[in-house]
Amino acid sequence: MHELALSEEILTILTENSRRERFERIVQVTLEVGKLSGVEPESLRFCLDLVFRGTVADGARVVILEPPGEGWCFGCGASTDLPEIGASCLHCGGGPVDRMKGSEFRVLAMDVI
Amino acid sequence: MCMTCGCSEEGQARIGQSRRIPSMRSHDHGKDHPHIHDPLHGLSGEGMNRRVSLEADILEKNNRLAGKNREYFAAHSILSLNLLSSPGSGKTTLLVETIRALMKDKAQIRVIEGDQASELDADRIRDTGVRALQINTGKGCHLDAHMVAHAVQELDLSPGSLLFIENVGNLVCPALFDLGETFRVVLLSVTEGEDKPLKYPHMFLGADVVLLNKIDLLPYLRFRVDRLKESLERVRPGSVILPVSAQTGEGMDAWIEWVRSREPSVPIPMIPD
Repeated sequence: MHELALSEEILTILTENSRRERFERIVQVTLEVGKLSGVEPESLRFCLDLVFRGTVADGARVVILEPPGEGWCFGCGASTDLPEIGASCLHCGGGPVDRMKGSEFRVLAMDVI
Repeated sequence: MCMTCGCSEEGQARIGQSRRIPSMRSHDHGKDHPHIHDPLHGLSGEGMNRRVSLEADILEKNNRLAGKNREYFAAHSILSLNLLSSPGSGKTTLLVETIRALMKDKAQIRVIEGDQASELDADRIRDTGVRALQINTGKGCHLDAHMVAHAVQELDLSPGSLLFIENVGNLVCPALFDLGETFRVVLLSVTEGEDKPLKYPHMFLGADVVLLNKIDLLPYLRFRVDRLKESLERVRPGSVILPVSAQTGEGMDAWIEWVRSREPSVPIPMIPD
């Protein structure tokens, strides 16, 4: 459950940025969690719910965008979709396929009132 | 996926090949929760909300601290090895035997032990005569760069020393947390199955070397080393596998030689992106 530690990290990012902004509370948090980031969105959501309680983000809606995995095949030299690390190239059926996209893990924005 | 509340009608977890475990949240939007499916729109249409763009990397703080640790290790010619595996694959036994073999070399050896609780592992290391510091992570499931920075301060390492960091036994969480180590050593025992790299790809993606431990048990198991090589090759092409038995000493020479021939001043980033 590294999602708990990561949720605390997200809250820290939000609170740090709250000092610079004037608002009452955070109503929505938009996250980017790539399909190959190693972070489980459902666990993250569960942990954020707990971590946000009693803070400026209490009850905030959590929006998670999940960019898909993309890779580059050493076998045929083409870009390919990469549903999971270690998957074969969709063009030539071979590999290995190097991860190029899908490891994003960022707080994109917060909506405040 | 619903872009407004982010709930998924399908969960991420999967049973077998295709059956997905449903999300724990239903797709219920309630009265005060309008059903808008545009992620960039949010509730701004209501005229009260303001969007603050952050674009912040969530692991940035850990990565920054890991970078500082790495600089420190490089500046003091310290070779640091982050040892990772599932619980029970023999990390501490391997470490004890490795220390015994390397004690003949004059370099100072120090150990950071990571466990949820107890000083048991640190005590086993101390029996060899080497100084060990135990970190208990409590509810945490991994070591992070911040914990290591404090432990390093406490250990007062002399230049040129060799630092082993035994991470919490876990193949999932520690993979994401760079500690600033010079190299990552992932340990796997033959009782665990050849498909581990495919099941826990993040861990093996970052491995600079993979140790296959408990090979003295191979005659009693159906474990196939060639299958392990295949799955590892798919996750991290060109991976180095060293088969060892910390118990009988078989293969330990090659591992000790691997450690001896590492250069402390060549920092390798955790995961190539």
